[in-house]
Amino acid sequence: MTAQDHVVGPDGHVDVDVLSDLVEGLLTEAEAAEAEVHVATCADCRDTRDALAEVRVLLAGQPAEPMPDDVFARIETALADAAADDARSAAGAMGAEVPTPRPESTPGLASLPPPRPRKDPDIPSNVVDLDAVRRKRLGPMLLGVAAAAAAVVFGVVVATGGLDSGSDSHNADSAPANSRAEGSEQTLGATGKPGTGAGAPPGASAPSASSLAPSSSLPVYTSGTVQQLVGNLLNRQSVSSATSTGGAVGGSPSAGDSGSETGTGKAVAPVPSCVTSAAQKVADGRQPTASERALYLEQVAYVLVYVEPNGRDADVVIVSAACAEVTPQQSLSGSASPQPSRVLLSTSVPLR
Amino acid sequence: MSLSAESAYVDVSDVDLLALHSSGDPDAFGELVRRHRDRLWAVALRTLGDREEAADALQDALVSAYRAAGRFEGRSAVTTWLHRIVVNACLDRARRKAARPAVPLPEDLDQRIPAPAGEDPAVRGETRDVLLSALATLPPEQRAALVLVDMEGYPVDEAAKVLDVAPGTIKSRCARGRARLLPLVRHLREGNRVAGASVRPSDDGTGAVRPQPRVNGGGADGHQDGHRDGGVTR
Repeated sequence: MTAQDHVVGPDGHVDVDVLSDLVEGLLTEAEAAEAEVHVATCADCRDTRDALAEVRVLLAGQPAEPMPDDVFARIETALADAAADDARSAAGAMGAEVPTPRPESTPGLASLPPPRPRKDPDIPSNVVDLDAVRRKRLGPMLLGVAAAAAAVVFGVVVATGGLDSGSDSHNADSAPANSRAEGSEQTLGATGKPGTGAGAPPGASAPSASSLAPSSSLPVYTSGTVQQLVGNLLNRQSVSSATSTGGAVGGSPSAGDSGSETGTGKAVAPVPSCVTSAAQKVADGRQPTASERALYLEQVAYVLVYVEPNGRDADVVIVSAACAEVTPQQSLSGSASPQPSRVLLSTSVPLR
Repeated sequence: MSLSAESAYVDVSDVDLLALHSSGDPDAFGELVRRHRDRLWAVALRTLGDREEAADALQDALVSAYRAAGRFEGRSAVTTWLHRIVVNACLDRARRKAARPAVPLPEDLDQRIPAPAGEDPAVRGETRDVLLSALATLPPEQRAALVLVDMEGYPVDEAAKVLDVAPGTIKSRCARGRARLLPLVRHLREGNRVAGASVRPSDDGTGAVRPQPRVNGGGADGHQDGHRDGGVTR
């Protein structure tokens, strides 16, 4: 087929498709030249070419309808149902071997790897279960608040997360590993660094659940309350820091003024080393500035706070206490041995 | 959970939201959906041209994404990944629909797709009606390409990633799709307010906005009268 009979048809004009290809730059050089020659002398074809441009303008000019709220509500309900399904399949697997893969149809995922249950099989099923049960109960409410209402604060950069590759932003804000306060109240065996006042030697075995405060008395952390509660925690645990901070920071360039070195002398349960181990990805060798035992996602967990050297932000890691404490769920399911802990939340909060 | 739960994510990147979701944060995926809801809706609605179909497709797609999040490997932006899942779900539906006997566009299309606030509903509704009708006549792949590139303003390369084809394929689909939509422009130029009226010399009597099949290399489609009549229909 030659350019001649391809570009200018028997009707003496350039075919609409060819003109559109011309506009889009899809013709060969010879074809394009041929078409241009014709278009330059043919008002009809110029008009058609203009109309093709109008099509683009018309398409681009269509205002998009925002997602109707009822559609959004449908979707959040479906996501809550999905979470509940996950909960059920996880519950079904409790005490059994492996979580049962959920049969599901996945329209449109042909180009993606097959979906799988979101939780890794090596994560204790009781953890999955709690997450999912909570989602089921709170689902619509969790998802239901308009973004427009999202006024405020809480700058968050997550320092780590569940992705295994490609998320290069993850460590973007990881500060130098060893520039952190080491005089913090809680001293954690996992790093092998001696502590100054927590009472328990490094690497001390985890406390038994019975010696700890009942979970009902623990502060309840949520993603929405982390900033506030961490602020409170830092205030509490740094009460005496004014008199004890000097020189406590090993190599920290700027201690800041917002409690980045916490005080000592407050009786707080030491954090089990298996918990700090789980947090090492974020801790990166740092000692927590403050910590407390708390509830997160209805699990007993440890909140570890690492104040940045600038004193303005703190990395917060919440790690389940599963490795150190037998949960009621485990008792019920008959698996009374401690499970591995995992990071439930990893975030960064601004300090005031 | 309260408003503060949402504000908590103001500065969290999409990729970090997905990571939070994968690590058990119960709110993170909802925030991701909330953040991109309008764009995802626009793509689904425009690709399928039907509110119910679009809602079904979007729901399926987002549940799939919710569960596949652990597989996200960061080779593309999260929005690209989400769009790919949504667009593929829409294309699956569109193909299934195409395999069934043609269903006429609903009479109440205008009611089903409300006009955006602040526009003249009559004018907007009519144009949108005609546009959706015209888009509905395109093969799903052309429609998806046009929706992404011309309507949503995605760069060709990005649309290529979403649809998992070469950029040249996107360009070609867009070019063919635009050519097929030419009757639409003529229709609007003429200010014909009769939605659904024939917009080219009516030889099929259906009144549909239907593109002219191209006789490849020939161009002998015999509609030179189009030149006299607005000049954009052939």
